[in-house]
Amino acid sequence: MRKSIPFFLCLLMVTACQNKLYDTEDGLNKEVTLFGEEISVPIGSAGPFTLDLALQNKTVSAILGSAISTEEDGTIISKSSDQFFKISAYEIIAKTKDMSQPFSYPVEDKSFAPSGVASLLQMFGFNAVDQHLKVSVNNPLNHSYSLGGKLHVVCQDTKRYVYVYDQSFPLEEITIPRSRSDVSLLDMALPDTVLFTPSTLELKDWCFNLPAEMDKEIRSSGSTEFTFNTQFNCHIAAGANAEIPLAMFGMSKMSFKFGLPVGSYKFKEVEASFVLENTLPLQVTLKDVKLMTGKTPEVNEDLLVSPGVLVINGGSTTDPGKTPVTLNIKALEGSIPDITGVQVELSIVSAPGYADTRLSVKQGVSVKSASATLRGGITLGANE
Amino acid sequence: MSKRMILAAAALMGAALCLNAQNFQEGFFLRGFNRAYQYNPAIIGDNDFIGGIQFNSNVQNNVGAGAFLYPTEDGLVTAFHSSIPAQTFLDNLPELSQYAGNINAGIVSYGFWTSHAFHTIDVNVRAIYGISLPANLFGFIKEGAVTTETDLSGASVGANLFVELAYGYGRKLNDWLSIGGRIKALVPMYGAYYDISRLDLTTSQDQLGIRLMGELYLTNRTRTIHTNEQGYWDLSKMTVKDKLSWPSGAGAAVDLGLLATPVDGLAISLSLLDLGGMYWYYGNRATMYGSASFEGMNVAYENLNGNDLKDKLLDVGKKFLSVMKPIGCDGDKWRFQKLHMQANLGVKYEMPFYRRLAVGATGRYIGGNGMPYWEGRGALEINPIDWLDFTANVGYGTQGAVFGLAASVKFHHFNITAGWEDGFGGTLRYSRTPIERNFRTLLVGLTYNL
Repeated sequence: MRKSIPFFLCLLMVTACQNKLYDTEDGLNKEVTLFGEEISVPIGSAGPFTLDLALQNKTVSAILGSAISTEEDGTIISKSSDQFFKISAYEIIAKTKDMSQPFSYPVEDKSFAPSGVASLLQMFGFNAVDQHLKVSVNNPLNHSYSLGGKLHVVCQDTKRYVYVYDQSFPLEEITIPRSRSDVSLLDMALPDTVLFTPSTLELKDWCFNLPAEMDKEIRSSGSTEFTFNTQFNCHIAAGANAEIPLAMFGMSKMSFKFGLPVGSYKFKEVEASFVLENTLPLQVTLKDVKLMTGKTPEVNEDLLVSPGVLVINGGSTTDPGKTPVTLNIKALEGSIPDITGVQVELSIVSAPGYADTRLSVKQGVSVKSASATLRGGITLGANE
Repeated sequence: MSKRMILAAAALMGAALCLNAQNFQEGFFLRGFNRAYQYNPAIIGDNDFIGGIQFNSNVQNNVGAGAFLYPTEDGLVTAFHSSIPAQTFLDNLPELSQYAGNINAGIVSYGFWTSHAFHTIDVNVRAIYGISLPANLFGFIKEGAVTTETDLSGASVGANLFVELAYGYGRKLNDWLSIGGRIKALVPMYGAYYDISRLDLTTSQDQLGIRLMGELYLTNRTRTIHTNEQGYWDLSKMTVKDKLSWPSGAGAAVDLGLLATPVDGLAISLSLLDLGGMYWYYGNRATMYGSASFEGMNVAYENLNGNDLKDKLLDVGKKFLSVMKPIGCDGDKWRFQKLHMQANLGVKYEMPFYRRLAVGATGRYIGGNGMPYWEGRGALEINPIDWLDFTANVGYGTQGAVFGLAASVKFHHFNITAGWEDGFGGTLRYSRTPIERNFRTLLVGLTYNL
């Protein structure tokens, strides 16, 4: 029996033969690439990224301040209130020799340029629409008085330097009751054809028609000045040739921070398809789109985004501009890490055909029907 | 082993998909192998015996590790490595990748002669298990889905544990012909079975969707699972029985055999095994059906940060997982499980010039299990000394070239037998996982001659 044991063991070992090609002793490469050909997944919709959000930007907010407000439907109103002329009652008394009879006090012509965001934006091609101008004056006397002369309103095309509105309004028939403030001299809507804000308000050939013994009619309390105020508001439309000079405000490159935790999946290439829906009457061009990575988001030059230029069509709330986009993101080295933001170079011009559309804080850009197609697979277990 | 462990083992091991009770054909050649009647009930023992534990394990797979592992210049990589073309991988997969196993643990065997017949009694505990996965599933994982809808139907997994009580009878009809038969009472104990009859995945730019139809069966000898108000299984509402309760069904099977010795030294064996089956009662039956889809998320700008996105993704995951929640079902809880018939043919001829040397051949067919198997082998047996017997065979079958080895050693009244059947093609180091598709049988047994 002893002699048979080695023979018996040898035979058993035959059954245990191993193929050296499949020797796992040196370790099995556990790197796997799943869905190597292609796989698509829907992502959904995001946004809208509205003007309201843009107005919350600190820089924008600092520039526009309270010069903008909104109506209930979100339409933006540019408004301004200015005091364009004042004169003290005591100055008039001092310069008048005889006040025993009612007298006329002539004043040299006064002109004024109203302020406002609209007047700023029209420099960039935006139109001021639905314009409304109000000029008022107060009365520091305990007696009524009247004015003589005329109020001249001029709107000028700031690009072509031609007057698009030039109108005078007589002041003779207006009596300012005693002790009143904010008595309207002019309260008017400018014609719809006028798309530029008033560049000049001018009191021409005018005078105060004051009562006798005026020095005894000065109010004992309150203002002792004759004050001329203007109130102006309008809506803003994109205009046919608008262009926002973002570079001027240091906003040509904008960063949007968010979190897309995709790093652990080690994608090498992702193709994202989506439709950009734009209700702004503005055509937005994105150039030099760069993805940001890291806890403190910084541009990652190893991530190539194409196309390099993306033109987003403009539209309106009722007729949004739709731009189908296919965006390819490729990692030049390694794989795509967690994405923490995007940086783009922006340019914004008016959208053809939507010149009359009023700007609204509810207008913006939405990402619709987004999906991603992964090509080349998801690699897991790769050695770093 | 506690009830809980038995249940867990049965559940873990997989399904009764392929019940290939490969009986030990080497026993036909080994002289004095007391349990040869399990191969052919007409093989009558030389003497009374009592048998202790016999362990017989058989595994069969129709796809080997070589389909999933690939040697490259940079070392061994998996099929999912980017360097392995999808077509290469898929060409190595059958339409349905199956792995099945059978464990037959003989608790006690007793064989004895009466005046003209040889009787046997066996008590065995048997476990059968298996898993079946469609090639489409691997294709989807490897390639993704260029087409919109992918059919991943056909996966199943299950396991069963049952007791077999067998009585065998064999006798010589005349000088050259013996007949025999075994009748087996099958007592189902624990079973678990999950079958996915329909699984479609939609992966398009517009929709990610799943449509599932599956059934889950669990026996309830010790546990009955109740449902919540919505009809889903609620494991916190499980009724625990104090006793093992009744068996989970009943079944029967027969083995039939014929042995002819027309001339001196020549034996021809013909047997049909496992003709029958079991009715299983699965007291816990559930269906899993439904569909879930994801068309994308609608995220407002202010919510576009990592945590909100993760929460939304988790919600999507929960939505998809909810499709797999078992819904209690009161339908037919009986399932018939047939044993898979095995036909064996064996021829043995003892050399007239040296009767301790025999040559022969065996043939085997196993059918009706979704993984039909046949093989033929040439065999050699040598009994150089009285207490040592050895047999070896080599052949070819559905799974390629096969071989078998067995030895029997007598020591006083004891008879120790060990045998091994395997396929060629090598194995993986340590794990002994076959590289090629194959089947493998291991038998170790001990008997005592009375």
